[in-house]
Amino acid sequence: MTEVKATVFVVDDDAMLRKALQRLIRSAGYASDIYATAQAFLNGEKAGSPRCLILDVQMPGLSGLDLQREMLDRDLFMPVIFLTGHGTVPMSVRAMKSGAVDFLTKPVDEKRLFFSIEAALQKDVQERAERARREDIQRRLDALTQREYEVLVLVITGMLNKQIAAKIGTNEKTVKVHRARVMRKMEVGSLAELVRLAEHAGISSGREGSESE
Amino acid sequence: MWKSLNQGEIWRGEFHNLKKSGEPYWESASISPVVDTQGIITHYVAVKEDITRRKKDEQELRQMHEELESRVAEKTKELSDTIGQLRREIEEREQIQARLQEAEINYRTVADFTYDWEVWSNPDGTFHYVSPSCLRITGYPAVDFLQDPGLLSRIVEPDERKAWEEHCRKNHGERGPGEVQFRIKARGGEVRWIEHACQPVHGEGGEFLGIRASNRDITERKQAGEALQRSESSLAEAQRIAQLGNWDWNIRANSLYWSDEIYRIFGLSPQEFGATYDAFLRTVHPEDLELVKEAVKRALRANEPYSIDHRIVLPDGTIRIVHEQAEVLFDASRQAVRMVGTVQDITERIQIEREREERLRFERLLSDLSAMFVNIPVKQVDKQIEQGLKMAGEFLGVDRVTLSEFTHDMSELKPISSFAFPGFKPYLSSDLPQSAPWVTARIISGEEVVLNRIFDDLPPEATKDRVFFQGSGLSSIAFIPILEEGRVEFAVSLSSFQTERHWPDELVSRLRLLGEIFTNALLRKRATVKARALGEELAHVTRITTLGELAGALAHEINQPLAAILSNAQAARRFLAAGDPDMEELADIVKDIAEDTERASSVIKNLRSMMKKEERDFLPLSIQEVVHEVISLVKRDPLGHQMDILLRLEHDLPPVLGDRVQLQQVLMNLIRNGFDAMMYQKEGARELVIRSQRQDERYLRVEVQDAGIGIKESRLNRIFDPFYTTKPEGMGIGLSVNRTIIEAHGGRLWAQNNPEYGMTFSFTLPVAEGDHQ
Repeated sequence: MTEVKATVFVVDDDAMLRKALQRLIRSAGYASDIYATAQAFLNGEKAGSPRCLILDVQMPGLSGLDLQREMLDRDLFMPVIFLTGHGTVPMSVRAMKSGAVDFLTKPVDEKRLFFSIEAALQKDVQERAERARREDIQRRLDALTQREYEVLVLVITGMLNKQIAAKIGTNEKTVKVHRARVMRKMEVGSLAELVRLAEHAGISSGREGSESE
Repeated sequence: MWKSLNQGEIWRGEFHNLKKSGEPYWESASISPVVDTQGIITHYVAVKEDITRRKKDEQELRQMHEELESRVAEKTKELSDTIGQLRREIEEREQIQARLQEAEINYRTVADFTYDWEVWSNPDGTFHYVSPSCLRITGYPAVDFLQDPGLLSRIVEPDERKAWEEHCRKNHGERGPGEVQFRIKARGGEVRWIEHACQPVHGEGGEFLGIRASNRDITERKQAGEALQRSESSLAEAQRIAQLGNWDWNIRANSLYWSDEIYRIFGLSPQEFGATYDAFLRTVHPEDLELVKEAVKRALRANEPYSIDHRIVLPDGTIRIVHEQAEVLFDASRQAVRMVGTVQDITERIQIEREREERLRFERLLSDLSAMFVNIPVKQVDKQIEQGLKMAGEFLGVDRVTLSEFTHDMSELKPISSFAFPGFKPYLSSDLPQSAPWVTARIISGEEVVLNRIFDDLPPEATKDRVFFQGSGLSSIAFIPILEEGRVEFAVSLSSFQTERHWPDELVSRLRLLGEIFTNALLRKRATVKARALGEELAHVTRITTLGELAGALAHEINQPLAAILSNAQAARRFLAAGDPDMEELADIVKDIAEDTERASSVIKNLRSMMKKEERDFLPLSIQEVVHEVISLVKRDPLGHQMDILLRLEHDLPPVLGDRVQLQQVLMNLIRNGFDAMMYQKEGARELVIRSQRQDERYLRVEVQDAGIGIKESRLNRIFDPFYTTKPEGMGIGLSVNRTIIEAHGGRLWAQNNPEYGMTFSFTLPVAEGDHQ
């Protein structure tokens, strides 16, 4: 099947619940893949897009929270909805801090479940887009030379070419050339666009940095 | 003989003859011829007499020196008579002299052979004659005395010489006969006692001729007398020591001899006592009079042994107890003539015996009471204390016995338990500290307060106490303080209302023991009640804690099926709503829903049974099931799924009789302890093994073996103590509660370290009745 469907993964050690959840998820038109243990999930094929994970917190062996951490370590990006028999506040805080979409208590109502699944899938879509965009900006940044990167950092702080030239010890004309190359390599048409892109990439404006120097 | 008989004379003679039995005898006979008118002897009359005894006596007399002496005296008298007579009859002096000389020769002949030392002194004091016996007696021959008239005076012992000389002065003139006893020192140095008797001798014309004296050696008699005196005095001494006297009642004469000690015992002087049987009866206690009379009567009539104890009344009114023992002597006609016996004052002995008996009885009471309080159920302590107080009251002969307790500030002495005989106020008022401060101060200081006669024994300064006791109607009261951890907390009071009771010190100190028995029981009861309340609280806390832990696991257990049911139901509705549902799938869903509902309801049932448990419910149950139930719970435990649990459950085990929830609680606790012990072990080394097996015919054994750090052997015995814990956050009640539960099931719980690492908890449970094989 080449069609890529929104897929919901379920990891729960209770076979009956696993089966029931899978039915419910399927009844809403999502694809579903179920695992009895965290380890089995890690080892398994995880196709589907967008996708999310419904994870039981308390399981023999690797627990839900352990799996969540393990996934981050493995760059396995997938929004997680925790499901618990009796959640405690510290447990849910920890789960949410690690990026869980929701922390649901069993038994969970379908509306709440589908709301969370929908949110998780959307989050997955967004995160995928975000990741793609960040990767794209990164690819553009990677094309910059060291000098061009320096100019970029200074440009986004709003410095004039003359100031930049003084700062990096060159003339205004050379700065102008570098600036044009940056704009081209970064595939932007305006300074504002460049600033937004840099912010996205997590490059600080360097204003504080310059002041401290 | 016949010649004289034929001449008509009487013949007299003595025969030595033999009896038929062959025994020799002496006979004297006189034969008289009887003549008729013609003067012809017609027959003889013979009178015979058996003189054997006389002959024998004569012989004995000859042998006995006393008899000899009497014969000498007789002879002496005879001689002097003879002399007198001769003087009267023969006027001629020569004749007299000759006869006298003859008599003297005769006398000498006798005197020479007398055993005594005979002396005949001349008027001038020289000796005319000294008998040879002087040698035996004095060691000096007669000639020494004849040649040295002063010798006699010289051998007289110096301290008696004065008396001797006095005698000589008084008697050795022409005056009458005299007697004196003195000691001499014999030639060999030994001292001898001499009995000296003397008499002046006068001639026919009244002229003084000298002195005849007889000196007898009475040393042996004296010694015997002294020995007798000594033994008499030691007898008297012995009697005094033994407080035993002897008496001799001459029944015919009705005279009663009492030894000195009897007079002492009876507090009488010989003058006061009539020395008759009636006088004796007057000393007997009136209540014992009949007894004594009867015993005497029986002894006299039937010769029954006379041995009785009775009381006597001394002149000063004192009553003493004597033991009498006597024998009756009968004459040949079976008439009682004498009764001899002893009297012993046994008052002290009886008193000591009574005290000893009382002490023994008291000790028995104490041991009975101690035994009574051993292992009695707490519920019965109060009742038993009251019973104990009653026993003590009866034993001690008091009207009321009260056990009281001081309030913490010592302001009140509150009765806890009391026994009073009917008609007496049951309690002493609890405000004693205020009403009787003097008495209370002493009790609080730990002293016994014994007021045998309340008003005499209270000191003048105890004015408040006096007023208080005046109103109480008490005669005697004793307070015995009971200390608890060095502080007076309790007091036992013994009250007498009508009669004064005297408490010997010894008894009072023993009464402390009595009080301690009561207070120990009381304190034990209080401790038990407290411990029980604490234990119940602990059990409750444990249950709640366990329930809390269980609730988490159970919530999960319930949530799982509920969650599945909900999801299944919602999925089914969606499938139905979507149209053209997959009927097979729907059937599956419905089946799953039913299964999960079952699952949930069993969990709820389980939970409910766990919650409602307060009453114990011992039912036959399968220990394997209990193990599985607990395992399903602990697997959910966050620690639980990091552990490897191995089950080694023997098949076909018989059911045990028990409370499912309590046994779950025990297993749960043991398993969690195992988890805790293995928390820091490496993964893979956290192996918990649960075994169930048959121990013997009557018991199953369950073991929970961990691979943890184990425990020091020295602590192994303490882990079951309440509040003993090795865990930083543990309360130390789990194991103690476990042990209580298992023991309540009739089983045993113990722990031991494994040979390699970790430890094993084991418990046994009795197989349900009827399932013994």
